[in-house]
Amino acid sequence: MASVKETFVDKRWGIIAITLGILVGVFSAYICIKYNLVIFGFNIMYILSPLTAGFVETVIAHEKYGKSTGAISALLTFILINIWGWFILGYITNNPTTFNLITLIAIVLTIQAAFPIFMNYLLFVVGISIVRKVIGFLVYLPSKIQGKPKEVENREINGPSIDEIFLDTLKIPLVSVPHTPIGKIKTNIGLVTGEAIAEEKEAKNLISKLTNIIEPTQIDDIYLGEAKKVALTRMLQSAKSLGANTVIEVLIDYVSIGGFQGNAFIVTATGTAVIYE
Amino acid sequence: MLILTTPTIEGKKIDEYYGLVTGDWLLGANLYKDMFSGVRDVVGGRTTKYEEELTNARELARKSMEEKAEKKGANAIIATRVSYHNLGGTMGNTIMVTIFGTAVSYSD
Repeated sequence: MASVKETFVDKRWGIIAITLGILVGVFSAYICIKYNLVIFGFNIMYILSPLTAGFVETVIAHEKYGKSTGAISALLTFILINIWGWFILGYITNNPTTFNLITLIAIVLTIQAAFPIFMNYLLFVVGISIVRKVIGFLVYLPSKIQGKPKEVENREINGPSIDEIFLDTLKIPLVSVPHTPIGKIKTNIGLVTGEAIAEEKEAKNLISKLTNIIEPTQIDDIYLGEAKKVALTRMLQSAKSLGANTVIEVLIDYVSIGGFQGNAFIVTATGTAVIYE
Repeated sequence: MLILTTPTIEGKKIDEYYGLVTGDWLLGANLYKDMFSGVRDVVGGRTTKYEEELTNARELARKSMEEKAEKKGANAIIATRVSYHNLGGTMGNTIMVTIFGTAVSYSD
């Protein structure tokens, strides 16, 4: 029993913060209902009250409890308000909630307020990929019915890329081996790095923008050669500023940094700067 | 063409270094394959179509690196590294295969 009492004493400010948060949240909801704060038939309490509750709780928790309590009151206020809004209000006024467009938008908005990351995932990733697949299916349906095999593009490598031209201009060739191509290593200077960001090419016109949605990305669509060149140049520059005359054991790596949909990534070049003779 | 991950060729002499050569290829997610691989993910079983495509992408990346090395007059690529990167953010249905190494010419 003593340990239970101790935990309560320990966490009293946390519990007080949550309770006060819920009280303030419910009070703000009461004000919203009393003064009928409605935008497009949607009472703003659904968004405002959980936010207020969470704000009050976090402020008190930070001041008195020392750490965050995880906005429990925001979630509880959200659930309470929704039970009130969807069920109890309809029961009292004998006017059950009907599903029209505004109600649906209100539901989406309330869920969005409570679980932003989850809803954004649903909207931007699941939603868009479903649309993508439907469009793709409709586009390829005629050829599927006619039984024609889809044309496989055999892409030719057209000309040297920018990084190749750059690598050819170097006096001492860059190598990925741990020794220099000519001469002997005199001094090891140390680690040198260079980074660059490769982005996807912007579509030129509206039609190619539309087809971009369904067509898979091609290797030409990314400024890869340019990014490689910039990363290698930066690496060589930092080697030169350290007094080295070449870089050995060069490693090129890529890290994807695209958000929900993007295809951007970081190109890194690392190596050991050395002085050779 | 000789392609090695080691920094030297055992028993052979390296005559000349030509520098870094790279090759990249994207494994774009084909809509059909994607659809059925989704079904197979639920039902179970290997998505062989994806594996085939991955092998294909790796071979094409290697081929483009080899072509670049050949153009320089090399007959081997040493200290080669292959890596696979996931593109397309959360949707993650595009895989990039990258390969790079040092082009050299060797003799006995």
